[in-house]
Amino acid sequence: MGNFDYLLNGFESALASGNLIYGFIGVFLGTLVGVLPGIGPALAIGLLLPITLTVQPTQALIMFAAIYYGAMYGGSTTSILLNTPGESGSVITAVEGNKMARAGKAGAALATAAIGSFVAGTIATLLLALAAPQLAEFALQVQPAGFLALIITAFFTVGTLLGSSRIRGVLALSVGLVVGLIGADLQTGSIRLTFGNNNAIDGIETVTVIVALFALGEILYLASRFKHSEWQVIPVGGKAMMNRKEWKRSWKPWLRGTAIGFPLGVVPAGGSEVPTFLSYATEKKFAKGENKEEFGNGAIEGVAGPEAANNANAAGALVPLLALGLPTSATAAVVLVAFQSYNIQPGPLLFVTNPDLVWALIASLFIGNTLLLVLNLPFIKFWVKLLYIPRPYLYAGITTFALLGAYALNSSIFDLQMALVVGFIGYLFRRFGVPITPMVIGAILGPLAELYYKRTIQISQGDHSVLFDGLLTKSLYTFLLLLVVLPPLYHFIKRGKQNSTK
Amino acid sequence: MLSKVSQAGKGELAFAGSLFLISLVVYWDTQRLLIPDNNVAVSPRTFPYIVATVLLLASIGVALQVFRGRAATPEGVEPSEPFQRADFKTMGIIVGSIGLHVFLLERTGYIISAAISFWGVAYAFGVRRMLRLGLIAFIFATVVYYSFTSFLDIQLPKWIIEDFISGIGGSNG
Repeated sequence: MGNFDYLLNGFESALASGNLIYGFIGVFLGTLVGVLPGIGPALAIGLLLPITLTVQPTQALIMFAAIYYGAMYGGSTTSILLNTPGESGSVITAVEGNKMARAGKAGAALATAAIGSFVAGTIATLLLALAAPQLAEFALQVQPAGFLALIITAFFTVGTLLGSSRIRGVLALSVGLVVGLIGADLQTGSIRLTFGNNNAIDGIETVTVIVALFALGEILYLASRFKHSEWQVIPVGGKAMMNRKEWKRSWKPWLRGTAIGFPLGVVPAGGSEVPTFLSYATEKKFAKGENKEEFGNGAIEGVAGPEAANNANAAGALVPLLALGLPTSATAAVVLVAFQSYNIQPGPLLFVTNPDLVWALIASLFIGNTLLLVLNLPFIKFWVKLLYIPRPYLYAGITTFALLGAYALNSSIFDLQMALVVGFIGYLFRRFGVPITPMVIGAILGPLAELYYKRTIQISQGDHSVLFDGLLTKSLYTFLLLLVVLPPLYHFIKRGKQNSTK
Repeated sequence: MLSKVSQAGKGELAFAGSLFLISLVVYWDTQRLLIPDNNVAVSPRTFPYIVATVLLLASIGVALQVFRGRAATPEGVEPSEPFQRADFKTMGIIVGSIGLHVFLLERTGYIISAAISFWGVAYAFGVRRMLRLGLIAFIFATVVYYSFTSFLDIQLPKWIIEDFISGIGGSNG
């Protein structure tokens, strides 16, 4: 059977009667949670994960795909109307989007975000369907040493590209790696860092780590800077619609945003910060005349491009996730955990062993993306109402759901205690400018890195030179070396030149 | 040397210092690790030693940055904004009510413990109409409990109160 047939089968099972309703529920819940200020897609999926576990695998996938797109769409609504982006990918959207809303053009901003996300999501899912099987086929030949090199590359790029300070990125990564060490060693069963607590033998539940870092950490941080102030929601006048001129100004940024976002999602470039910013800079450059003047005061291109880039980036991140089993962003990390709880192990073998599930997922992504557009453009006013929940009640509600999410997965008080500890770490990270995502990536990929390392050394019977065998590993390590060496060298040369001209 | 470090910087030094200590704990835990007798090419010690070393170096690196006057900028804060002491009272109430939730959950059931943490967080963030808040917290916790246990089949700890309300509702859930 060819991939196209698989995809058609995927659509068939996703659209089968009774399954579509889970798509609707997913879009509804995803948007509902994603709209809440302070909740990004990673946290939204983490919080809703227990719910998807109560249904059949195919239904869970459909619901999951719908939640995924719903949460992202909800996040952009909040950043436009409230200027409190829930995740790094929406920061740029908030810049121009909020200005547009203030100028009375909230409807157009929301529409270009929604339609742009749909266009980007559809194209990117198509590219995903084309690229992931190819990559998986290639990955079947990759040796453990190659996987180790890929993981180390992801560590470096996520750790050093995110946030303002490289050293703090590395710090976050290593704290995540320490969390990953806790529990029984996968190979020998040696018990590490549990201090005699039997609950910790299985390690710290990843969902707990994510929910605690993103929800409890954020709540504590907000509390630490608590001032008696109310936020200002910008009312949406009219409908979420665009006029002819706005359409004309939007479609090219959508496509350019997709072109920037997708490839940067496939390579581990550290989440959606870089692509959305690049897209914004591109649109600013391409804009002419009075449109260019509008940048900084609410230019529609500045919403259309980054929103498309953000969505395409998220779909792009699914390529290495599905084909290699490697998450490269916090959201992809939660997706990995979700799949593992459906007993699906992403990686090159997935396409061989469970093609039906992969293609059901890809079909679900198409459907979820479409449902989102159909359901949410008309109901935008309903979602906006959520933003009027008074802050104290909102934070109390988020805390309640975070605690529920941390407990419900394993019905474990120990998980809940860990959530409190990790939440406090999340607070400290925010307080001291340490990025969160590298910690999540470290906690998830750390044990995997150790596994591949051990396999490599075991096959070679202790010879460490095999770590650099093969073209893939050599080129990846060269790339990393350049990444580490070039920026300081550049500064050094620049300084030298400045000195010589003086 | 320490006198030059700003107040915010001192907090960050303590943060880097505790991570430094954690890296030492990882070293200590790793070297006392029990290793099974079976013949493995790579000891379960190798990887923890690498991780501990990276953490050790990174925490020293952050401390050095602070000494050079490059203390971190907290998230969402402009570098020019003056240093603001953390509001430990608000944080304390939240940590306390979450702690109480954890302690009570399997003792007095979901509704009471969730209502308490909801109440605590909203109170910490400035709600002062106690009776109304108490009522909202209780109703919220009850609705969450029943939607998760009845519709989603996710079991949550119950106590007299959960059974009592089920009794009123006429179901045996």
